[in-house]
Amino acid sequence: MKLYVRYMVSLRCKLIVKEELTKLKLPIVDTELGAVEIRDNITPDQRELLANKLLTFGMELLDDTRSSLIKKIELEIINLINHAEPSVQIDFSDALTQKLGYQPELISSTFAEVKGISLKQFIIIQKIERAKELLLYDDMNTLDISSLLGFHSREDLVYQFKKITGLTPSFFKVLKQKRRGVIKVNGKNTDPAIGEKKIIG
Amino acid sequence: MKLYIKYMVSQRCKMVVRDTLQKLGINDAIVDLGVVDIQESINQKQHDLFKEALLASGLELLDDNKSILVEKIKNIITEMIHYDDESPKVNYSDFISEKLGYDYTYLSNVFTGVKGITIQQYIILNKIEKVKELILYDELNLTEISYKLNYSSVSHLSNQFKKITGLSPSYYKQLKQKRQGNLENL
Repeated sequence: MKLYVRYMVSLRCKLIVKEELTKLKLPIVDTELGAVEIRDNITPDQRELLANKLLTFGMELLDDTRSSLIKKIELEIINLINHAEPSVQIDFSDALTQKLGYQPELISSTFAEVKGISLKQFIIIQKIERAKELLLYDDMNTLDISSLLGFHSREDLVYQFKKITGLTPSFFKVLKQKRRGVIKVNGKNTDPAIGEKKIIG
Repeated sequence: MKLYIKYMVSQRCKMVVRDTLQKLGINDAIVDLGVVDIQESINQKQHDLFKEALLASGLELLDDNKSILVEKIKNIITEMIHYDDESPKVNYSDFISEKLGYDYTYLSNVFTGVKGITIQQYIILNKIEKVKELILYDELNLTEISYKLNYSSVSHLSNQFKKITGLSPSYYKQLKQKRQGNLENL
């Protein structure tokens, strides 16, 4: 299950949360800013202990209602992006308001306080994630991807892509070819140096 | 134990790896881009099965040498940014390649193939994390922070902060006050 923590917005906060969960003997599956996923469920007693402990560090364990709000925001955004259709502009703020029934301001401020990044930035990051997938798994070019995901232009996509990953989309096209090479030889490629030369830094 | 995986650079790759692990009966694992941290140790047979299953999805389990190299690059960066009081005045790229004794281009190729972001970008992300920490926990102002982390100016720092988080550093200052509010209500 996933626990959401308000003001868990830096690396040190992450370490503290990890440490406290380990003390409670709750195995962690994944941590990200603002959230930690644990393997098992947390008992009400453990939850209270954790909440009190985190408070002493200024962090706030979110109750179920607000946790599920953040979760819904994330899921809805990813859902909207994954089901984007060409030439249909997604209005995220409108869609979120309708779906969740909260004011857009409340949604974005709660989100930023928990995640440590703005809602807008989260949307861009998710779009870039989707763009990576489309480049790697589907045969789409950057022009089509940019219009599908609602970037202003192909250049805008490339710019944002570079801003988030430090790489150009074409780097991912090269990766795709190399991955295909890996699948083709399927295990027989024992020399890791094969295909190494073409990578561009 | 940590296993590094090449070409595991998107969320879908993460899901593929998680599924693969579950099929092998390995549940205690933290899956991140380019790396899996398995809590229990796995035997050679599981290792080989895992490697084969990954290859079928176009992912490549890194041999030990390269895994260690990626790990070392990450450690140097973490140390450089999070623990050293004085960050090196030389180029980060020179610093890293000097420490590891490899050509920077080679290091960058290995790193990027695994993580899906450049070393440069990884350094920026870490620096921003550090800035967040310094704002939240230490009583440094932005001028001091920008000096400490080798930014040419406060506006350079603010720009990069905004580029990565979408928020301004002053928003983080507000967060700090809210957190302190939390502490006082205890």
